Amino acid sequence: MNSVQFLGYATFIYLAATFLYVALAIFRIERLGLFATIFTIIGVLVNSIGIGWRWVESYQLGIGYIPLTNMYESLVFFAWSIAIVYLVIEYIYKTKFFGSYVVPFAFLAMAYATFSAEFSKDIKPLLPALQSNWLAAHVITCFIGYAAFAIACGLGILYLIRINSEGKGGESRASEATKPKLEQLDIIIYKMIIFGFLWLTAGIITGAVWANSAWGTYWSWDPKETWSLITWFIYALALHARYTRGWDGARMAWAALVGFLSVVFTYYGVNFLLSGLHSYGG
Amino acid sequence: MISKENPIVEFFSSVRLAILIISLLVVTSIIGTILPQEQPLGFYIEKYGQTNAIIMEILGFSNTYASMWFKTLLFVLCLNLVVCSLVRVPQVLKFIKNDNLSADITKIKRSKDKFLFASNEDKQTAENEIRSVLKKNNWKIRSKQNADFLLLFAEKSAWSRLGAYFVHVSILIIFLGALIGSIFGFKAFVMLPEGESTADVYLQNDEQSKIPLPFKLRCDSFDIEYYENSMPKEYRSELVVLEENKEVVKRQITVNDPLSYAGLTFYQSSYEPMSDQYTVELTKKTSSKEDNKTRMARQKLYVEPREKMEWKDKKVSFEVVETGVDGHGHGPYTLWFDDELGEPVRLIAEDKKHVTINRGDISYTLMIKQRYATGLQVVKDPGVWLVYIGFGLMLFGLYVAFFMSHRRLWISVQETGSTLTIILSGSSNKNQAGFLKTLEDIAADLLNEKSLGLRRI
Repeated sequence: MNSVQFLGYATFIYLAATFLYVALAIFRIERLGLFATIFTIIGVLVNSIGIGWRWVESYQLGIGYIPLTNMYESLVFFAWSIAIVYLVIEYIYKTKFFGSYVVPFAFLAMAYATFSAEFSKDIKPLLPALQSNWLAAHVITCFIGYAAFAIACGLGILYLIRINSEGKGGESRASEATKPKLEQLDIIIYKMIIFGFLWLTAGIITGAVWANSAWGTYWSWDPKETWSLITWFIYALALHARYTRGWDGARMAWAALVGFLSVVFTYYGVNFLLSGLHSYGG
Repeated sequence: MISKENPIVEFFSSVRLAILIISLLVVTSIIGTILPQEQPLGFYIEKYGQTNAIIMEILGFSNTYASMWFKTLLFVLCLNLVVCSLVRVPQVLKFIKNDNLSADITKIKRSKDKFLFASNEDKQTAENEIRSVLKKNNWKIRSKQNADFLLLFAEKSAWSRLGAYFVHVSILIIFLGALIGSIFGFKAFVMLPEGESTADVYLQNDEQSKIPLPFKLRCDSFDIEYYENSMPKEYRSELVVLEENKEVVKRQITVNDPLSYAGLTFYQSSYEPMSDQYTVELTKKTSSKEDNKTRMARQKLYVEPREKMEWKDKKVSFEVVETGVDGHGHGPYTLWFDDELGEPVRLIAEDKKHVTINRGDISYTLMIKQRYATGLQVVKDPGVWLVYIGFGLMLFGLYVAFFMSHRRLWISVQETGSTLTIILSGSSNKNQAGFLKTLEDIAADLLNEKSLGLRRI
């Protein structure tokens, strides 16, 4: 067995956790929630061991780099970040009602990494441009940000579904019961966005500093750079609208959705649809 | 001070303008990533047709981020940030400096989040004990004796209200750094063959104009190292800085490790094999029987095929007769070699492999390989340090703006008969839920202070 196969198991564990969170949301049996959390924790453990294992394998091959260097490895780290950040907010807010909208993102990232044939899963040596200590700093900061934005998006979808079903059902008792949850959701969405925004900023900055040490230009309007800036602008707009015109609730949920679409395009779309400096990312 | 009443000032300080400009930057940036940039007009005509291509050219979409209107958008954004800061920072500063001691007791009694206590101690002891509890937790405290009650005010991180403005200023600093870089700096390039030196570099624009260096730069060697799977592992140049023909710096550069000297930075950017040119390293080893020592002499020569080369003082001559059966000119090479000690020899040498010729006590080692020119990006950017300061300030400002809050406490101490009534209330400009926890902790600390003798009422 190698790390790729082992990481494949994390996919199924995250899938199981997803089913448990969905079952919890439907049947509202508390014990299901406990199992859902345990499965997510096991998923993170398997995911972590897989990353560590791949790191060791890379040393055994005489390459010796932190496994954050291509599409496959970044997806694996993305899934890991989502699951970790989710577990932290589940712990802080002591509630599991939104798990079924977040853990699927970890599952999807992991499943895409495991089953896609679009990119290689081999450990390849690093091109000269990638051999820098900034690599780890850049990728880690970006993906923690992306993970927070993914969670904000999942919660945004949940928020929109909730208010939509309320609008149709019209039962006042149901809406009274869900109202505090909606307020809490709004707060968590906002917090995930500011958390992600700080890390995205750090990601763009580490990228700029790295570019300057490798090429002598901290900004060159390369499509990936530009899209990261577009994403930054979109979240900046949402935050300004929230501070000055009280954008919260549904509008913030939509912003989380649109912002995440921009994240996905920055991360994935640019690599495959536009060409530029980050072309080795695939 | 700039008045907000002025309609022009109001327009330029408005968040509405910021939202408009940022939205326009988003849309135009997206267009700039979809349309191929900086291509010749012919490329666009072929791709989009003549009319579209000309419209694109006129609107500047063939070089979006350098176009006048894109720069104007950035300029208006800066103006917006400047005016907004000039209008609002004084207001925030005034708020920060406010002593907050004008609160009256009814307001404190009405506040939503409050704790009520009673004590039998005298007023002075109560004040001192409350102060010492707050001081332990790093609160900044002020007090005021009103007619019927004592008011204590304490606060933390009032300055954190400036967080958003740190971010705004950081953006201005980054723009200023970029501006300084683009006015007083340059980006140039030079293709420097191994063994040669240059005192000029060439600007990377259409004119390719020459920029003289205040020193000379020499490339001693360029090497590519490969992984086993033939992917490139490292591009490496040995560079030497010469001041008045004296070596002042000798350093190896690789892709992520440039050479900086006298405000200029040289980056390993590309390379080029020089056609029909080879680097030959010749070593002469002489073993002397008298003192049992070995003497070495080494020479690096750049040669062309079928051209006789001489290592004069060592009385050696050689010629590259044939550069390779592989058809690419990378060996095996056929060499002709002669010194004055024996018959001339013909030998075969593999690319980059040493071959040895023995002549009694003297042996020669010969290595032949492709001669390269190293491509160096040459950058002068006197603004980059400002940009980095801006980066630092931006991260700091975002942290302050998002995760720090201005927390304020009002504590009233009122004598009612022989007992004291103490009310603790407070507020935070962010994260009120988190602040409630803090308020509870303070209430617990006050209750635990034995000499205060507090009880909840």
